[in-house]
Amino acid sequence: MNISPLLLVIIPVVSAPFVWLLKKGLREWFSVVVTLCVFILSVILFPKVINAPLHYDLFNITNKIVVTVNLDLLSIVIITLISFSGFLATLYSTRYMAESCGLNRYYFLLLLFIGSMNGTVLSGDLFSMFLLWELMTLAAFFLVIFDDTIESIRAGIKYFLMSEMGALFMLVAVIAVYLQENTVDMARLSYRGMTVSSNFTHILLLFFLMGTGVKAGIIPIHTWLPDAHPAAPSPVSALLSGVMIKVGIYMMIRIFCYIFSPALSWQFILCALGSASIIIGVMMAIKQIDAKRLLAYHSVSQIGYIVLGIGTGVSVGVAGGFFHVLNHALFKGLLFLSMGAVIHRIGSRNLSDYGGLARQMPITFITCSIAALSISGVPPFNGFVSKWMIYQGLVQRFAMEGSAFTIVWLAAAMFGSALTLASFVKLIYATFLAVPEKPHDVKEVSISMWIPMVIMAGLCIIFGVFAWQVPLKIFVLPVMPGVSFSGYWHPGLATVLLIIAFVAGGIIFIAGRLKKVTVSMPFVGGEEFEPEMGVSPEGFYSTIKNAKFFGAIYHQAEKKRFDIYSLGKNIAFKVSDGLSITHTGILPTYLLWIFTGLVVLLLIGKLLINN
Amino acid sequence: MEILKPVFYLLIFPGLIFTGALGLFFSWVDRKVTALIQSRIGPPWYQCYADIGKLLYKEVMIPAGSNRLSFVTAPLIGLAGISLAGGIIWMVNINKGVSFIGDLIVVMYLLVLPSLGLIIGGAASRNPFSSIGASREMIMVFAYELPFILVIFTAVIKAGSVIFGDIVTYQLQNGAMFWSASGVLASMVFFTCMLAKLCYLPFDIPEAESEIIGGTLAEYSGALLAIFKLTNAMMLFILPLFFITLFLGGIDVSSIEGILFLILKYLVILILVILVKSTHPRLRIDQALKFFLGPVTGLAVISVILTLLGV
Amino acid sequence: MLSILEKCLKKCFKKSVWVYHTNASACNGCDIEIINALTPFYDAERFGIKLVGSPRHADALLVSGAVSRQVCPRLKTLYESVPEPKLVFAIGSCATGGGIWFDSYNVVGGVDKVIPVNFYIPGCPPRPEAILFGAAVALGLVDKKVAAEYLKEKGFPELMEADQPVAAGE
Repeated sequence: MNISPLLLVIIPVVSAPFVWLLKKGLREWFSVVVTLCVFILSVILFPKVINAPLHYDLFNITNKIVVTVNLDLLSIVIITLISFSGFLATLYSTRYMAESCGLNRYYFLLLLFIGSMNGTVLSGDLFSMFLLWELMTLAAFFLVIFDDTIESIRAGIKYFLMSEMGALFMLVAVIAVYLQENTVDMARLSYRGMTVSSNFTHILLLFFLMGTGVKAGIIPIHTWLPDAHPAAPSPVSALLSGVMIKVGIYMMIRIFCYIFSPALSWQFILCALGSASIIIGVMMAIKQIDAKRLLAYHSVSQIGYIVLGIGTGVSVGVAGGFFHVLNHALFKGLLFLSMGAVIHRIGSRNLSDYGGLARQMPITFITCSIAALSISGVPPFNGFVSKWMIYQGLVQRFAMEGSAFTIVWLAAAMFGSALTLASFVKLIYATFLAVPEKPHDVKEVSISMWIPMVIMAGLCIIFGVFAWQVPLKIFVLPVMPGVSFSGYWHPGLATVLLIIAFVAGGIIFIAGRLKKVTVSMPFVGGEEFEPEMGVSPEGFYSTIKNAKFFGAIYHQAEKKRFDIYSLGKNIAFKVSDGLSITHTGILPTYLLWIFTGLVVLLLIGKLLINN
Repeated sequence: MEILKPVFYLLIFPGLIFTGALGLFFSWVDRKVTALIQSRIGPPWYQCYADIGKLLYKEVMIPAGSNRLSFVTAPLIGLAGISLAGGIIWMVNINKGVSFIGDLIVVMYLLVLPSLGLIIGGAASRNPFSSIGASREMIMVFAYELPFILVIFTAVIKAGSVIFGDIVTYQLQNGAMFWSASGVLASMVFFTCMLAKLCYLPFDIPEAESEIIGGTLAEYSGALLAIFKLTNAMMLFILPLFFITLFLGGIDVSSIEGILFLILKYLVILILVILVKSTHPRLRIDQALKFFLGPVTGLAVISVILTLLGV
Repeated sequence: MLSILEKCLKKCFKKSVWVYHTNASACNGCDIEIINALTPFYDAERFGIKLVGSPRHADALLVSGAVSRQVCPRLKTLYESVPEPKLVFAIGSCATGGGIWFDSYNVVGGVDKVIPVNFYIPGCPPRPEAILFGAAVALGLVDKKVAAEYLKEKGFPELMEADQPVAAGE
């Protein structure tokens, strides 16, 4: 029995308690070494599953529920992603969290989190997957409330309750599948290929969608995301936003593409939810002035792209969605890490407190700009390639079935890209290029914080420029066979030509430097230059916020009218307020209630017996 | 060497130098026709070339305290984007079978790069007027992207593919896309979005000269300003060519009458642009936002619906 | 090779002069005439002259007005904001030498006391044709107008009868 896939889970989980025994300096490096080992192990296991998946049973719980391990190409790619991001985030947090207290708890939870995520992806049957899913939720909850402030505890409770609601729906669906098919083994279920025909399977899919959708962050069950991701410490946010969301997507791919053969109606629902997530996520992100909340809303929007890709039902679209999973983990992780560097130095999450950091934190500036250009889908970075594949999937879907809605999804996806660019222009301007009230006295962050950022930025560039050679050939196309492209994009040549045009412009610049270059104060009509004169981050898009149509929607969103959690909370409180009229505290009234209830029950029982 | 051919295409023939020279010439045509509308003699034919030459002779001033890297590289981003987009549009018209580097989606994304260069340049100059200009330019991009995307889909739906070569072949077989109800509406919307992309009146809000001291370009001087002006001239040349490729039947450079026909189509579009530019005042930014997201998007949606119905 | 490029570009400078207009405490008479000169009726664009919105884009500063004390530092900042090579035109009598306020308490008296001036265009206010003539002289398009030869040899005109000094007692 091959123990090596299990080590991916056992190593982090078993070494987690050892963190409590080590003292301060040793603890961080121990965690880094553990995560590095997990990453190396996942890279070693990668070639072993290229030809055939590793699938074997572990032990029986009953004779029908068997815990199995399943490691095929889809799982190993996601596991490599989790281990890679986990390693970089742990390396980053050695410096970032150095001044906090309770670090025992932090590293323990971090290792547990990484191990449980690996386990969720590794498990081959629905039962153990569900157990490890719950463990992942629990570890993430304790990490979200790590700061112990009121805001983070509220955010953590919101996240936990919504996750549990989704998980309960998923449990019901798992039990229903077990009762129907008498097995929980995912490989056997995909082999049988349950078709989506009856109402029963439709309801099953709905419950699965709610369970995985809460974790992934799809509209309308995304509302925990903008509260929980900012509240967590920055490296944890990078993991939550970069990787944990993808575990939800992984489960969605397993269910919608492997276990069930999806009917056309479910593709429509996935496309609709995906497009809605894209637009709503990015419209909400435009008006944020809290840096991490802005990034969290962008996570919602990019998950919309992934779900849209999966929902196209065409192989190039699904491959594009999967490639976007990899890309998003890279650039969203990079964004959270670089914003975390800024927060670490300045000490505030509000965009109005930043400004002019480009000179003082150059590495952060360059890596953040690369990530912002990638997420907006500017060629030749990696975001463009995956979005281009998703658009091709939509065009092919339109050619196949010609529904008008496909045009709406396509327009929403491309418009969302322009809006993403808008939002990141504001972020880069407010953080790095604007003029602050008084200049900050900060330096660049230390090496263990910028090495992860530089590695991720380099991968963004490599995944974009060498898109055909590196990520598509190794990671995406083996997982999704049978992809046929209908467009044409030659990133290597395009990059070379862009660089040459850039250099040509540089030559024009040098030709014009016949007189010298001087530095002088900016011209503001002859007045003295005061820093308050600039455009503030709130005012950057004030035109859009005040336009009539958007203004009304933003106003309602502020009052949380669209938030399912708040609505549910209000309903629950109102119902329990109504019921609390009966809690009078007077003993005879209680006795009267008990007596009346007993009489009613006996009467009903008598009626039933008589029938 | 195989790599030299695309570099030649990019830099010399239908790329940077060719497009730049012709773009500057057509900028002169723009100023001359404006002058004729205003009953005066306009500038001589070498005026735009003299402008660029003079700008190259001037001193480059960089605002103190700004980020020098972003300030200097911002114009270069725009130039690189429009050169590559122009190269792709020319090459797919010259050899219709081979797609040069990318397809329609690539060109649409590359055409955002000049606006992005303006915005980064405006944001990086440490000047409040420039940041107002940058904010307005981004809001303009937000406003005109949606109708722009929708009308390009009109062409995609009709031809059935996103590869440029297929769209041009479709028009060669079935006649230009302009001759249909949806084509007319789509052309009108594309024309309006083209005006906004070129930053011409009535939408030259980001570069409002008297209002915000030149907007995003307020702190630029010398060679960097020359690169921005060159990018504008190239956009003036490339965007109507994009329009012709998508809606008016493509470019046919194989015969003399094809070239004459191309020049005729291009001049008609250019004269329409100049007429609109000379007779309209500048809009405010919120008026422009409402205009684009209201009537223009409505017309674009109607044209998509008409295309789906097959009209 | 670079010097050939430099010579070519130097020739371009005369063909396209971009102008930035500023008012240093003028009565607006000269400003109106400057703006008139830039309208289609007088057509400054045929010389390549264009009005720009930012001093960083400008080649020539058109300054009008007797310079008052409050404007002095701002005029200096403006002069430093214009990139080399630059020209400064002082338009109107006030800009040339202070006009009728040359000895007033808060007027410095003429632009050349604050920034170096290349060309003076006198007049109160100078006609648009005069402003354009001054610009053309600056660009070397026409020669400067000088008095004709026969007028130079003559002295000043004799006093007319009505202006003879009144003899004492007559």
